[in-house]
Amino acid sequence: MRLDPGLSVGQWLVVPPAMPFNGAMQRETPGTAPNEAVLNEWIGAIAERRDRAALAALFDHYGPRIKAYLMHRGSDEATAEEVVQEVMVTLWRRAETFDPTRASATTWVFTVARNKRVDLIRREKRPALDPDDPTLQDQPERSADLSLELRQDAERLRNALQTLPEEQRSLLHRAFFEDKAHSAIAAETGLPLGTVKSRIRLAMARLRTQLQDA
Amino acid sequence: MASEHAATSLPRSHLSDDRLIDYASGAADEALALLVASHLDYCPDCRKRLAEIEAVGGALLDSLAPAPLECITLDSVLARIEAEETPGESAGRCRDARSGGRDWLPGPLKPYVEEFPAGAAATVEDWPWTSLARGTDMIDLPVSGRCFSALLLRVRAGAVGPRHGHRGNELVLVMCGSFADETGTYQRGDIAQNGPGSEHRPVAGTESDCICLVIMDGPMRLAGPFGRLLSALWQR
Ligand SMILES: [Zn+2]
Repeated sequence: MRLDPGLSVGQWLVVPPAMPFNGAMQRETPGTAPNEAVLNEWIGAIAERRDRAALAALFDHYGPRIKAYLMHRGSDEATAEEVVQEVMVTLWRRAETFDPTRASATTWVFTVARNKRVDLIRREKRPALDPDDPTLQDQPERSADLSLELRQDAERLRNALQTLPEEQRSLLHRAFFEDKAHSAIAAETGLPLGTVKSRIRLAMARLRTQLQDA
Repeated sequence: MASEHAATSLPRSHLSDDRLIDYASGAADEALALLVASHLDYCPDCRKRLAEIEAVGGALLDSLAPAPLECITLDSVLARIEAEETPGESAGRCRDARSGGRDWLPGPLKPYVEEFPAGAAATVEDWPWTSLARGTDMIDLPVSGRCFSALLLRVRAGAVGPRHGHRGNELVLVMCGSFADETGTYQRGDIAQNGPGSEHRPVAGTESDCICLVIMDGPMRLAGPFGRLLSALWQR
């Protein structure tokens, strides 16, 4: 800038978000959240016929949740909403690349939001595996069965999460949604670092068992 | 690209779930992401575990307490989609600017624009914009005088500008597009005035980028990441 440093110049003061997010999870009563089959239908409707009502439904359900995700991870409100907008545009434009035999709808939306957040907030390179790399296809057979199985898994996973001990659920939540090193989580929870890590692993192991038992 | 050895000799030691969670959640920094992605390239076992972890991320996302949207609407999303799907001129940019003309640019400002490195013939896209925040760019205008500084501000169509407050007075002249904030909606030719202590968050209209001439007085005091960025610009 060509301004004399001693000069009085105008300014903007950035106002911090009014309230910090407390990381509370909401337990929705069954029936209020769309299930995986419904989510698949919405995405399919966008892919097949550019269905705006389906986008509206996705927007209503995921918009506020993606915003919450961004804000948990330290974004200000305006940036969070900007990312929500970008995610929605991506869901619209890439709906036909959604493969229900590879990931459930919730998983897909999560990865899109995660990638947008990384792209937009950090603006740095993030090496990532190309999921479309044909040499990496671990499941050669794609069938309606597989898609159904994945959908059922996703439903079971939602229920399994609710049955985790509160502490494990909250540690998992922090690990996913708060931009903190595990050591910071350890300091806050008063648990030794090794314990934080082992409880997160325990929680994952428990979820896996529940899925396999089903 | 996956390497051929992935199929022939599988890794025997693996990444822990907490590392994979860092990678899946986007918390991993570049070096960790590089290492994890490279291991994944070799390891179907960890790829499977990553898929499970991403599924947990999806289920957790679904269970987050929603944060109500305050600025964007389905309409603004659809406007963005349409802008990106419309090839060429309008494309969410200032239409007048894009079609070559700058009819919207007031005559008194033209000499300043002609001083830009890209010259008088440049389109608005070629102007020397500096990014302030996602979707918000500025160009400082060289002005003499000790009271007001001047800048051009562009907020992309439908974008949400940073929430900010004022220590001094700010006068904003809308030249192209429109914006709205807590005090009202401003269109081409309108002047928005913000005094010391006021606080607002501009949202550009969806019809085109919003380009404004902004002048500000008062001592420069900045806070927050956006403020630090602006301060850094001022020190150039
Ligand atoms: Zn491995």
